[in-house]
Amino acid sequence: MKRVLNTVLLIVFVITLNFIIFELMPGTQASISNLVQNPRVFDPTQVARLLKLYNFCKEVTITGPHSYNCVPTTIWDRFSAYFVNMITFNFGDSFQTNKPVLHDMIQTGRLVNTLTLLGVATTVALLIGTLLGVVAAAKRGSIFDSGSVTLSLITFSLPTFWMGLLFIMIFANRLQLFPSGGVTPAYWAIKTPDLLGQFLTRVQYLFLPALTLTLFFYGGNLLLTRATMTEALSEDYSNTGRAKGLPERTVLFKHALKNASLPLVTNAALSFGGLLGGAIITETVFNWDGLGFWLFNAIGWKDYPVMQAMFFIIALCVIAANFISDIFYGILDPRIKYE
Amino acid sequence: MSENTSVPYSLVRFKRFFFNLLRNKKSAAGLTLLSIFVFIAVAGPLLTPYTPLGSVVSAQLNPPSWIVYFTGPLGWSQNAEFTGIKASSITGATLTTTSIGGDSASFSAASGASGGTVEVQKFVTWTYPGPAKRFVTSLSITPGPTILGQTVIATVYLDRFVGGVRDARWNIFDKTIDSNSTFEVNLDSISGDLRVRLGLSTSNIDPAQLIFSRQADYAYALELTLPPSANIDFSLQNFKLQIRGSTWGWLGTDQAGHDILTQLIYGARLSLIVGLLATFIGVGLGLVVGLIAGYLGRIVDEVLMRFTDMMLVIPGLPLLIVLVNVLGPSLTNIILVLGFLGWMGFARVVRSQVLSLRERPFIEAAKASGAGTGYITLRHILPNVVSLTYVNLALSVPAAIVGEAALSFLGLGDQTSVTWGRMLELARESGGSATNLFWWWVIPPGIGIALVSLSFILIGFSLDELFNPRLRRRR
Amino acid sequence: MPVLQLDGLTTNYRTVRGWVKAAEDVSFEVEKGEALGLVGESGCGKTTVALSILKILPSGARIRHGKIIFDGRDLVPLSDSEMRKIRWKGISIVFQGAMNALNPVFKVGDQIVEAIRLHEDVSKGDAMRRAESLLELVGVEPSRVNNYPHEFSGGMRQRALIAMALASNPQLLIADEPGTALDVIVQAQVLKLMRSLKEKLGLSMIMISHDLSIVAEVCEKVAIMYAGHLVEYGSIEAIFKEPLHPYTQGLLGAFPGIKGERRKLTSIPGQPPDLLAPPAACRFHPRCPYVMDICKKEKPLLEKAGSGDHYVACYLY
Ligand SMILES: Nc1ncnc2c1ncn2[C@@H]1O[C@H](COP(=O)(O)OP(=O)(O)O)[C@@H](O)[C@H]1O
Ligand SMILES: [Mg+2]
Repeated sequence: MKRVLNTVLLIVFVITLNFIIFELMPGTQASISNLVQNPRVFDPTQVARLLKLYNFCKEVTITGPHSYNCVPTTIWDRFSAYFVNMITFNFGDSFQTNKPVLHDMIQTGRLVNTLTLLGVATTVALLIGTLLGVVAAAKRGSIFDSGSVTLSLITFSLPTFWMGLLFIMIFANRLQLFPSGGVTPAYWAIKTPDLLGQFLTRVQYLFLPALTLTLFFYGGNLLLTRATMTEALSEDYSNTGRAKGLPERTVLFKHALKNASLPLVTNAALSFGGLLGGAIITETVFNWDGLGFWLFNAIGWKDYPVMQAMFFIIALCVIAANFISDIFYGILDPRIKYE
Repeated sequence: MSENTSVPYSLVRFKRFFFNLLRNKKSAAGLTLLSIFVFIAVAGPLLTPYTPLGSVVSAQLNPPSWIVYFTGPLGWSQNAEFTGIKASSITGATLTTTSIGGDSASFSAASGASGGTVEVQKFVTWTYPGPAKRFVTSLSITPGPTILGQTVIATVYLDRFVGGVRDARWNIFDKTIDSNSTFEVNLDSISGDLRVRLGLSTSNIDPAQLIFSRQADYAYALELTLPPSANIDFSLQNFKLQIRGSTWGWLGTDQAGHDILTQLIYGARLSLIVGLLATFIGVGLGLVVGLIAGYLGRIVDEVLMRFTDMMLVIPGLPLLIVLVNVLGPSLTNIILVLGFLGWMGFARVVRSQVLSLRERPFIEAAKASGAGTGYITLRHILPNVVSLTYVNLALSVPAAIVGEAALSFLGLGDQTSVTWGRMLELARESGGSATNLFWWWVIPPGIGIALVSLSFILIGFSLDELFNPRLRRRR
Repeated sequence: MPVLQLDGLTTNYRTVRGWVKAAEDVSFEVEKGEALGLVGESGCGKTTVALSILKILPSGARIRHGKIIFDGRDLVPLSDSEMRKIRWKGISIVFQGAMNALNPVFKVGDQIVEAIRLHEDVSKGDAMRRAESLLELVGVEPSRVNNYPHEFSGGMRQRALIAMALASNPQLLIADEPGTALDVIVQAQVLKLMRSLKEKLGLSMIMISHDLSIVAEVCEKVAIMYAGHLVEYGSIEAIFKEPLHPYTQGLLGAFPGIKGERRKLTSIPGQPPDLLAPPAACRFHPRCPYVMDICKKEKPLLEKAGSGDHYVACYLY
C-alpha cells in the first residue's frame, strides 16, 4: 500500500516537474512570446496550437495577420488541464507532423523499435555481466578477474556515443559487415523479402546498436555482481554449501547468487533511467528510429509536445521499473514482507 | 626533529596522505594522467599557435602526417610555402627596386618605346611524392599615381621548372589596372572560377592537384605589362601562395581545415572546467542537503529525503536534455544543470554518515556541553564527512564530463565553444552521414574523455580504499 | 585406528602482502567416539584447520604440507569430486549459528533436504520427513521445516545447523564455535545437546572454541593453538590439572573455571601476533613471562611432558 502511494506521489511529482519546466522556465515563455510577437514567424495556427497546448488562453481569436485576442487563464487552470492531459496520455500534436504524439510514437513502430533494442541489449548485458561477475568473484585475484574488471572499467569510462561511432567506422565503413545505421534497408519500401530474409537483415541492423548498448550496460552490472558475489561467497552459508558436498557450480549459482541478486535487482531498476539515456544516445548514433532518436529530432525542431511526452513516458517507465523491482525484491528475499 | 615541529600538522598530514596516494599503483597512474591533462588545459594557448575554430591550417579533412609511416609515402603531401621573393625585368623595361623582402616589394618600372614587362616571383621546390590538395594565394597591388591615364596588365602565373627550364605555365589570374587604388588578388584553388579557367570545371580534381603533381621547382609569378614609355611605381603587399598538402600535423584537420590537435587541447580545458565546476556544485549541494537532513532529522529529513528519492528516480539524461533545451545551450547553463542534477546520491551518503555520527559519544558530549547545532555540524560532523566528499568529487567528475559530451553530441552543446563532445558532434555532422567518419577526427576526443574519466575513477577508487578501512582490509 | 589424524598440517593464505601463516605444522588425532577440543584466541587459525580438513578453503589458501588421514586415507591429494563424496557423509561441520551459516533465502527444511539428497538417492518427500525427524532430534518443532532462517531464534538456528550436520550420519562432526554469540543460557543448552548427541550417536567430534571451559563440557581431549601453532595437547583432565605451556596457563587464568568457581581473571599481556610476519621460533615468545634465548631461535617441538597423555611445545619442560 505504501509502495503504491509512493508511486502515485512520484507520478504527480514528475508531472509537476514537467509543468514547471515547460511552463515557467524563461526559455519556454520566451520562445512562445517570440513566436507570438515576432511578425516574421507569426503563424496564426502555430500560435493557436501553442496557446492551446499551454493553455495560456481560455479562448484565442485571431483578429488579423499580426494580432489576436486572448482571454488569459490562471496558472491553476493551466496546471489542472495539463495534469489531466498527462495522465490521460493526451500529449497534443507533434509540431513536426501535426499528428497526435501518441500516434507518432506507436503507429510508426518507434515504440517497438526501442523495445527491441532495449530488450536485446538489457538481456544480453544482464546475462553476460552477471555470468562474468560470478566467475570473476569465484576466481578472485586471477587473471580472468583482473582482466574482466579492467575491461568493464574501460567500457564504463568510454562514452557510449563514441563507442558507437568507433563501431560504425570499423564494422560498417571499413569491414562492411553491418549497415552503419537505420532499422531496415530503404529498399524494403519497394520490395520486402521473405520472412527469414527479413529476420536476418533485421538482426544485421540491430547488431551494432545492441552491441553498443550492451557494452554500455554490462560493465556496471559485472562490477556490482562481482562485489555482491564476493560478499556472499565470504558468508558462512557458502562454506556450509561447500561442506555439504555441493559442486562449486551449485554453491555459486544457487546459494550465493540468489543472495547476491538482491542488490542487483535494485540496481537494475535504479540504472534503468541511465539505460534509457544510453538508448537515446545509441539510437541517435545509429539513426535507429526509436523513441530516443525521435526525442533527438524533437530537440532540433523544438517540438515541445514530443519532448514533454517523451520525458513523461521515460519517467513513467523508470517509476514502473522501480515498482516492479520492489516487488521482485520481496519475492527474492523472504525477510521482506509487504503488508 | 625540530623541522617537524615547525611544519604545521595539517601539512604533515597532507604529505602523508599524498604519499599514500602515490604509493598505490592505481592512484599514482590516475594522478599522473590527471596532471598531464591539467597541464594541457592550463598551458593550452602556449602549446599551439592556432585557435580551435579560427585558424585554417591546411586542406580540409587531412589525415595526420605520420600516416605515411603506415601507408608508405606514396600519394601524400604536406603544406609548402613559396619563398624568396625576386623582382626582375623581362623585356623592354628597367626596374628600380626600392625595397624587397618577405612578402612585399616596392619598385618603379620604366618601359621603353615598345612597352615592357616586369616580373615578381617567389619559389618553392615541391618534394612530396603526392600532389597538393589545395592552394590559396594573396596579393595586394598598389600602383603609384603615375598610372593614371595608362593601363597596366597584371597577370598571375604558376610556373613549373624541370631541370631549370620552365616546362609548364598556368595563367591563374589577369586584370587590367588603370587606377592607383589598391586591389587585392585572393585566389583559392577550390573556387569555381579557377577551375573553369584551368578547364577543370567538370572534373573533381582541384587545380592544386593538377599543378603540384610532380616533384619539381615552381614559381609563383606576377607579371606586369607596361604601356610604352611609362614610369610607374608599384608596391606589392602580402605576396603569398600557400600550398596545402594532403596531410597535416599530429592529428590532421577537420572539415574546414582547422587543426584537430588545437581543438583537442582547448577541449581539454573546457571539458575539465565543465566537469569540475558541475561536480563542485553537485557535491556542494549534496553536502548541504545531506548535512541538514541528517543533523536536523525528523520532518526536515523526511521531506528532504523524499525529495531526493524522487529526483533520483527521474531519468537523468532526458531531464538534462529538456532543461538545457528550455534554458538555452550555453556553457554556463550546462554546468549549472549538470551540477543541479548531480547531488542526490551524495546527499544520501552524507545523510547516513551524519546519522551514524550523531550517535557517537563525542557528538553527545558536545551537545551536553551546550554547543549549538550549527557549531556541532561545522566543527564535529563536517570534518568527518570530508573523506566522503573527496571520493565523491573524484567519482562525479567523469559523469559530468561524459554528460556534457553527450549533450554536445545531441546538439545541445554550446555552439560557440569547442569541447570534446562538440568535436564529436562536428565530426558526425560534417560527414552528413555515418559513412563519412574520419578516424583522426573521431578517435582523439573519445580517448581524451575516456582517459580523463579513467584518471578520476582511479583516484576515486583509491581514495575510497584509503578512507574505507573495510575495503583496505579485504585487499 | 583413529578416525582422523592430522600430520604436520600447514595451511597458508596468499595475500597481496604475502603469505598469512594461519596454521603451521598442526598434528593431532581423533579416535572413534572421541571429542577433541581445539582452543585458542580468535584469529589463531582454528577455522583454517577445520576448513583444511574438509578442503573448502577460500581460493587464496594452500595446504602447503602435511597429511590429513581420514578413515585410513590421505585427503590432501584427493580431487574435488572425490572430496565431495567425503564431505558431509564422512565429515560434516557446524558453523556458528548466530552468523549466516544457514542461507537466508532458502527454507530451513529445503536446506536440510538438499544435504540429504546430495548423498542418498531418496525422494523429496522422504528426505523432508527425515529433515523433520532430525529437527525433532535436536529439539526443534518439526513443522518449522517450512520456515526461513530469519524466522528462527539464534538458538534454533544453531540447532537446525546441528540437525543438518547429522543429515548424512557423518563419521566425524566438526563444530566451529557452536553457540558463540548466543546468550549464556542458550549456549549451555546447545552444549548440552552436543554432549547428548555425542553419547547417543557415538559421534567423533572436533569442537572448536576460544573458550577452554566450553570445550571441557564436551571433550575428552584438547589441543591448544597459538598463532597457528599447536602449543599443548592432551587429555582435558591433564591440561586442567597441570597446564604446562605459559599460554595455556594464561588461558586458564583468563576464563572462569570449569566447575563454576571463579579464578582470578588474569589476561595475557600483549597482542596476538600478525600472522603475515609472525615472531620467529616460538611464536609466543614476545608475550611469554618465562622467555629464554632459545625460544627466539628454534621452534620447540611438541613433546611428551608431565603425567599421562600430555604433550607440550615449550623449552621449560
Ligand atoms: N581468506 C583469508 N585470506 C587471508 N587471510 C585469512 C583469510 N581467512 C583467515 N585469514 C587469516 O588467517 C588467520 C586465522 O584465521 P581463522 O582460521 O579464521 O582463525 P580463528 O578461526 O581461530 O579465529 C587470521 O589471522 C586471519 O586473519
Ligand atoms: Mg573462527
